[in-house]
Amino acid sequence: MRWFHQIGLVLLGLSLVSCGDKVKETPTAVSNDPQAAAEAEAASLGELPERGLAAHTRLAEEWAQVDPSTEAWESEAFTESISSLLKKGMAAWLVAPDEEAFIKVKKTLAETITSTALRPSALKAIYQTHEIAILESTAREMAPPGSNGFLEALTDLAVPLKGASDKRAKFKVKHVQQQEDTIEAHLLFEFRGKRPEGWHQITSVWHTQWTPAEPYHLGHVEVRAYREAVPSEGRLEFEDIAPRVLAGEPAYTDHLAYSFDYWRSRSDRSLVADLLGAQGLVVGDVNGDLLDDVYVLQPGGLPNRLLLHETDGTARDVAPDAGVALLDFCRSGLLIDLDQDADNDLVVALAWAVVFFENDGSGTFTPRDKIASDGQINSMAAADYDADGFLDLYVCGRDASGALKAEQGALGIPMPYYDANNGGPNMLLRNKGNFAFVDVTREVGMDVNNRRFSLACAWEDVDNDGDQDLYVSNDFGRNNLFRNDGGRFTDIAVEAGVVDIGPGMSAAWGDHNADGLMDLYVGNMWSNAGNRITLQDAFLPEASKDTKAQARRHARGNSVYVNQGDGTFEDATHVSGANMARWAWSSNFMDLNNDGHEDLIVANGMITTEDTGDL
Amino acid sequence: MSSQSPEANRTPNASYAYRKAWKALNTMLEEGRSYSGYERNSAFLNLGAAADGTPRYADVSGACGLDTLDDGRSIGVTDWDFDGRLDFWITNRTAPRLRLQQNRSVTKNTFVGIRLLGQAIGARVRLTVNGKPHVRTVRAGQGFLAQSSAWLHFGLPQDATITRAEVRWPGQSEYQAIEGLRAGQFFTLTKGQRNAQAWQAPQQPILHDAKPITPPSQRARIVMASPLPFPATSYQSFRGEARPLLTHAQPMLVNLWATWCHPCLTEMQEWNAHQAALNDAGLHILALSVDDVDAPLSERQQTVQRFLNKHALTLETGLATTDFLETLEVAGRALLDKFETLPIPSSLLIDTQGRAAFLYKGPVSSEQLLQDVAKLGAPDEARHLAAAHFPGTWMESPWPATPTVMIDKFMSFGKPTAAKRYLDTFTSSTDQRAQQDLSESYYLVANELRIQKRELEAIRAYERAHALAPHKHLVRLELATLLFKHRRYGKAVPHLAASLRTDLGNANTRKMLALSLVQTNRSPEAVPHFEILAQATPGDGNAHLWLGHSLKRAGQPDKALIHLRQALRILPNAELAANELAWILATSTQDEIRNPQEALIFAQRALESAGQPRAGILDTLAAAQAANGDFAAAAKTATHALKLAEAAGNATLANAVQQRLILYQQRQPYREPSAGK
Repeated sequence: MRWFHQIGLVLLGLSLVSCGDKVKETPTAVSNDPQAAAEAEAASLGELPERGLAAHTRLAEEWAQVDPSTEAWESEAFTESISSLLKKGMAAWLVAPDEEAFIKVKKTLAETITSTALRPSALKAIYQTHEIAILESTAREMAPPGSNGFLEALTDLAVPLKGASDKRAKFKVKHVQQQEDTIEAHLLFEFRGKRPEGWHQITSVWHTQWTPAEPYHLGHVEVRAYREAVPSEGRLEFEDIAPRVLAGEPAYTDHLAYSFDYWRSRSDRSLVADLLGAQGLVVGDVNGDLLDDVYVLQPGGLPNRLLLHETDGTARDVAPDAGVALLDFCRSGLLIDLDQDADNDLVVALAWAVVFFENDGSGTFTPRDKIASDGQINSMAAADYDADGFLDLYVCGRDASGALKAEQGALGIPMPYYDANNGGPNMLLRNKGNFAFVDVTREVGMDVNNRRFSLACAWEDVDNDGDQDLYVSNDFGRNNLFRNDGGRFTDIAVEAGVVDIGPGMSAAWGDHNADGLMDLYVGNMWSNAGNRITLQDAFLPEASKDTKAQARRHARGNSVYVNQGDGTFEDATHVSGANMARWAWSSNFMDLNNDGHEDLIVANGMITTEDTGDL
Repeated sequence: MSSQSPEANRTPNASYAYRKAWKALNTMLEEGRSYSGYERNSAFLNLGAAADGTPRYADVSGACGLDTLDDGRSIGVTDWDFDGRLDFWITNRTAPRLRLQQNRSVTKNTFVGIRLLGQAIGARVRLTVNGKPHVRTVRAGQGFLAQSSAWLHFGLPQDATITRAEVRWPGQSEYQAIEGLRAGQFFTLTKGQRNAQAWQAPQQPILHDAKPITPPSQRARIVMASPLPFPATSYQSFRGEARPLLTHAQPMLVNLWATWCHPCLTEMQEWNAHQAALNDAGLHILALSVDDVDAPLSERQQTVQRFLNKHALTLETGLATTDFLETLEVAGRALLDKFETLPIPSSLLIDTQGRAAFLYKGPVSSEQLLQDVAKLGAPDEARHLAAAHFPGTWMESPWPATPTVMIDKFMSFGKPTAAKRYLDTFTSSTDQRAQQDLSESYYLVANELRIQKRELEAIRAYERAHALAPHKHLVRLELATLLFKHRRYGKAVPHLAASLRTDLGNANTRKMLALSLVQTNRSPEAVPHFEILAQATPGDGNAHLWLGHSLKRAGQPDKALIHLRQALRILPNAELAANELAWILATSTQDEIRNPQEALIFAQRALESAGQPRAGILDTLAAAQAANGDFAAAAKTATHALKLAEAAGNATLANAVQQRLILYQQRQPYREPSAGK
């Protein structure tokens, strides 16, 4: 097959209209206001309202298998129902306390509701610096009983964000358990907003009890792990300045400002054929001025962009002149000096090939070599593994190529889900100099455990012996830690304690505890749905305990491993406070506040569309 | 026989439900449903490790403004503005696809930035700050699909003192001291040198204001990079006749319009005004009305005719049918990476080979049409560039036109026949990728046909899939399995043999192969396979039975006896084993093998197991009786066998029994050298 991850079935959606009142005038003048122009344009086009022609029955059956609102997953139906109640009621009221939301809040509550204070008194700082204070309380005082008492408690909860802008409140249902006459649910609560002194964040866990049948009413709330993160004298603050750094740059205003789905909806399938929108970026200097430039990878039909850092802090796309405006489907790249001439050359991963470009020193590139891959390429990482002075390249090939699958009779989907080893092969490409590369995967001993669905890799000297070891994060299974012994590699993930079975999405080295040893942060998925479903009896009823545990582990979130200095790592995930990082993709170390401790940032979210019924 | 055959419909059935679940998930995603979406990006502040070294983090995502709801993907860290605070670039699936998160934190902490010059990937810098080690490595590739800055950044508390600074260059195991670092500044360091050089970052002026972004529009002119044939369908004339949509005589514009749609009228009037030029260009325009498709023909005809007359439109028009709209839907989803309901008007420009070459969402001018018609015959390279949204360079060409997705879309409508018809008319290029995808399509069709229990048709589709991509073993295996199931053993053998070669451990394939060999009178060739099967599963009575059976025919009665006896021990009622055993013991020419008494016992046992008299078993019993010298009984039994064989129409057996009957009547036993009947 090809590089699409997803070949889907179809549901008929095209439908027709019979009413005659749709006639609208085409705008005659071009407006300077783009919003108005777009609205006018949208109005000018006729629209076919939704009315399914004929949904095929088999498709419906297949939907039923995964549609959370069907009976098979009882907790999912309940979750959908109360998520909606909480979203339109309490969460909406906390953001904008209007009448509509208030009525919904009241509808959510049982008359006899009891609750602890939703914002406990006696908050104490457990951490305070110039930038931020983190406040907690262990008090569990009760709110006045009844729905009026609860509404008072809710009003108290809103106080810290009074007058804030950019407010957002959200409940996520983590755990659901049916008891005899009540349903217990654990809700993760988040509430944030921006006040003049900086961003405020409230998080807590609500242990709730609900009436057992629809319409569900909230009967009891016990707030745990209440925490506020608030500005101190200074603050933590970030703002997206790409629109200003790239002001007037068509690469941004005409291209990157629009979503992946926008471009997919106007692209021949042969150009993209992908749903994930996983395109990476490279930060590096292409013209020797020591200013970081950015190379942005793009799917097929859209050129990669080379954003050159100007001395005034702006950036402009020079990809066409630089010879790197590739239109092919790309995922990742690297800017590294491959020929020891003190400029950064460029490596670009097309779907099924690595292309090497030579930099002439001024930031103009010429293709020099291309190496095909039997795995669809995701992340790459470079290091001089054999200490010959030339940078070598490790390439993650996630999905097996059609040819490989054909040869080996392998199916394209991961088998088994929890421990798949039928993906594409990864490659270690040794740099022989003069842009000649050779695949040495087998001869260096890396051809073991090498059919994983690898998404990410990162080199680091794990054992402080001066050579570069490699960690590989694999989707649907076990990760690798290749120890380098003089240019030969051994997978020591098991002995080192970093197998991290799970949907490995990213790999990062850094120092969690500032002891000078390099630790690991592995991106995985933290899934509420996964946590809920895997705890149910209906989930894999035939499966063994081990299989279920492995499946559950797939939803546990990012992993924190601490290097013990003796070749092993301690799994500090659950005590670290850094595991619940959502459906994580790139997860990386970065000191946010210059206190010398490496903090963590995580890019996440799988697929967001305008559809509100998140799976 | 059926009870002994391996589970005939084997295939990757075990995984079917799992594959189905994947497909259902993909379907939902293709349908535009969110999946773990609306998840905010996260940031965790390092609070400093506990005394025992356990890391402690606090979620500050909302406390620093980084908790955007983007579908974030890749992160590249850099101090972009050289203000000593780390910023980062991040790519998203959602809009905008790129952000630069500028760090505007207010802190009294400071920093030092170091850039190692020369090949420094893998180099480490270690600062000792307030007695504690701070280590940073220069890396190329970390996180996901990302490379961060080569600048090393050390955050430093305001009161911190750097008591030591060291560097370890790649390939070295020793650290060397660095001199001259000071907080709050940037430095470069060249390999071999001890002194870091202060580096002056450019002054950063105030940035311009952002330019407004035009909200996304529904309108689009989509150039197909790898045009696919539009599936056969029809529309309705005003007289109610179904007419084929495509004539292939000339380039064709199929337009969707409605009387209630004002932009449609404007568009049609403009075409009308330029009809001569459009005609000259050879373009055939067919405007299909989508007004109330479910209404009676006369009503539809009237509505449209009145409208055309009123506006004096002379374009060729027709009525869109449900079949046409369904086909358009299938095709639209196959042609575009993300199908969204088409606006009215929309048009499709189809070339003389019947391929969808351009798709216009919203109105298109006659001028644009003239330009695009002129491009229909353009070489691939030009089309690939035209299909891109911005100028650029292709390193490789886009994927060639393949019918896979079209087929897949047909499948979801449960229309494998339409799918196969589409495939049969599909002329694939010689591009290997295209051949492979065509094979893949036949494979999908075959699977679907099989699910619908149309297995003979499925066999033909698998055969096509195999012919197009002979190296695809999954196809071969599925084909072979079906052939086996339908008792086309001779045809199945080569496919099973090839499948087995790629998956030697697959016992089921081996069983099917061995049994097919037996069925095609190639029992000797089956011996090694049954040996492996019997060895792998010593408790499998059937393996021993068939091994014995084949060994006998391979001229090894002594070995055959061992396995037949073993089979009987495991399966005491296996009549075939008892029968074969009795036959060898009764008729062997070798004295050391022949055992008439035992032969009689086994022959009777076979008869009992069978439950009713059968010609083959009676034949054996007769041979055993003759071997024991009881020729009268033998003749009687053989006569009975003869009648049954004749009644069953088994002339070969009847003939053989007849010959033996003559022997018994002459008071002679029957002997056969080694091989059997």
